[in-house]
Amino acid sequence: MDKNDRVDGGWLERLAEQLERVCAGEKEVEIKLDTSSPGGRRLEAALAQLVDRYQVNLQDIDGFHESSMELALGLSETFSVLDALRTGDMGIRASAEMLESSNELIAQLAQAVNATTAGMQQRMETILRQQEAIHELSTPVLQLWDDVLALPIVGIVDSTRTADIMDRLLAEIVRSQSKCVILDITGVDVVDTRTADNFIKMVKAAELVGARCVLTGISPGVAQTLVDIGVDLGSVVTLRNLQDGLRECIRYLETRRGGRADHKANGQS
Amino acid sequence: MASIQVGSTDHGTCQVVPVAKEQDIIIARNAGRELCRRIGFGPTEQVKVATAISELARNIVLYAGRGTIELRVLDGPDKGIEIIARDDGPGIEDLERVFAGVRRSRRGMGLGLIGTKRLMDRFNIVSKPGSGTTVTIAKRLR
Amino acid sequence: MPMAEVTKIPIIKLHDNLIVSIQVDLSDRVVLQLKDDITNTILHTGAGGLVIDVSGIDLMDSFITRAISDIGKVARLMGVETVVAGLNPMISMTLVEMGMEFEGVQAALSLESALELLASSRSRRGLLSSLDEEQEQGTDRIRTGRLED
Repeated sequence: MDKNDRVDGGWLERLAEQLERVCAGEKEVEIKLDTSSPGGRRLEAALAQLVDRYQVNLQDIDGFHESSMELALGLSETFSVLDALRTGDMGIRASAEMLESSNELIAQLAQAVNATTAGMQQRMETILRQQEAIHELSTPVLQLWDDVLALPIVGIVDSTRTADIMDRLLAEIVRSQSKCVILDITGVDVVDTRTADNFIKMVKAAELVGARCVLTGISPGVAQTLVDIGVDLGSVVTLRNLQDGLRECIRYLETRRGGRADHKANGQS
Repeated sequence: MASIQVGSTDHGTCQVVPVAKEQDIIIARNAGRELCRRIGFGPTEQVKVATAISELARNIVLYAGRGTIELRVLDGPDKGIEIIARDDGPGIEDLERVFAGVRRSRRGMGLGLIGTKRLMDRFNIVSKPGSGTTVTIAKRLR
Repeated sequence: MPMAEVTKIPIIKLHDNLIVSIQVDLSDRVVLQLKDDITNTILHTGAGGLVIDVSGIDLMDSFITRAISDIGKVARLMGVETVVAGLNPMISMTLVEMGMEFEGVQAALSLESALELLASSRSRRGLLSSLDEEQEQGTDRIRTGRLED
């Protein structure tokens, strides 16, 4: 059963009540089936099957005897589990007794209920994992080269996303000890003051941690907007595309390594 | 000097740290950090709140001599932390100017207050020359 | 981190560079002491570079940020380049959100890359020629598109 297939919990409770009363010796019961919902119709079908199997005429209380107590109680418990499902409680399970019930139909029902809850829980976990993966895929931090990370940004960059991107970018910079970061915004069509601010924040945060940043992929439209709204990218290095960015990073890294070689040459190392 | 546990108010747990010496800045910000951790803030947010507390506490030590930092847990739908920094110091003369001239104010308290404001979700300051200063800040759990 | 009554932060000399490792929460007094110690050591050793290792610091407010910037500026006036090494990401994000920056110092991932940075920038350009470059290009890095500027 899923969200759109709700069974009215009140009805389930009433049914269970009635069944218990029958088992307690009541001579007359009234069981109304709510067949307006798909869940209700399915229950009706299941009940019909039960009635068939056990030759029980719910209208006819003579058909109900003590051995049907188990049936009634089993049904009652099944319904309460189904009810819990309806309210979203994934933790509920049909009891072990029900599963091991000598009454085969009850046992089957119990198994079906447990399978349903397990299935739904699994589906929810999968959805959550997929969401996380999509989240990460949307702004992956890629190791392009030794010491060079690339961060292609696509779409809208709001403050929540910025915080998340910064978190992951900085963690990756420190983990991989990468000295260069290419922030590629080819996939960003629209910028406003806030978005530009967010990019500047990302660059500054990365630089404070010790990485140099290059901004690449500013489209003509974005460039014009930045000028129009008067955003000052200040001292951020900007280059045309990822390739140019990578080339500059490699050149810069060579410079730094070159310095070290010189240092050694001077006899101090 | 250890902090004083005041107990519960309708807002939830409340803690008051007296601030008079530099060591108290550290006590106040560590208390804030720990409270944030217990409320459920992530590590980066704990650092942000602790830094804001550090700014406010330092202002008290530098400009008022003594005051208090009150830490409150905010319960309910807007779960989070609230901090109230109070002192009976000389007060701030031109609040607007303090918040306006960011870059140039090197030695003044402006930088710290502006930074604090940027870190928090809520920022309120009441200060008059001769009547002391009260800064109230808050951050919501997301 | 506990604050000792009289804390002297040790300054290590490594070839041409000075290394200062800050582990404790700095008080006003300790900062002043450190500034004095650094400037004296620069004077007596003729060091060309200074590395401030902040990997042991777990929180920075405007006070300590300004203190480090001041040390950097004073060092530069004495001909010494300063690099801050090992700033942790959470502090970095906090400083950026506050709108605070270090002035007069560069940043490096670690002590090792800080030393490498100092070595490369000293050998790459003489000091005066870099002034020429700076004059020519101002602070407009966008035009040069070069990361080391």
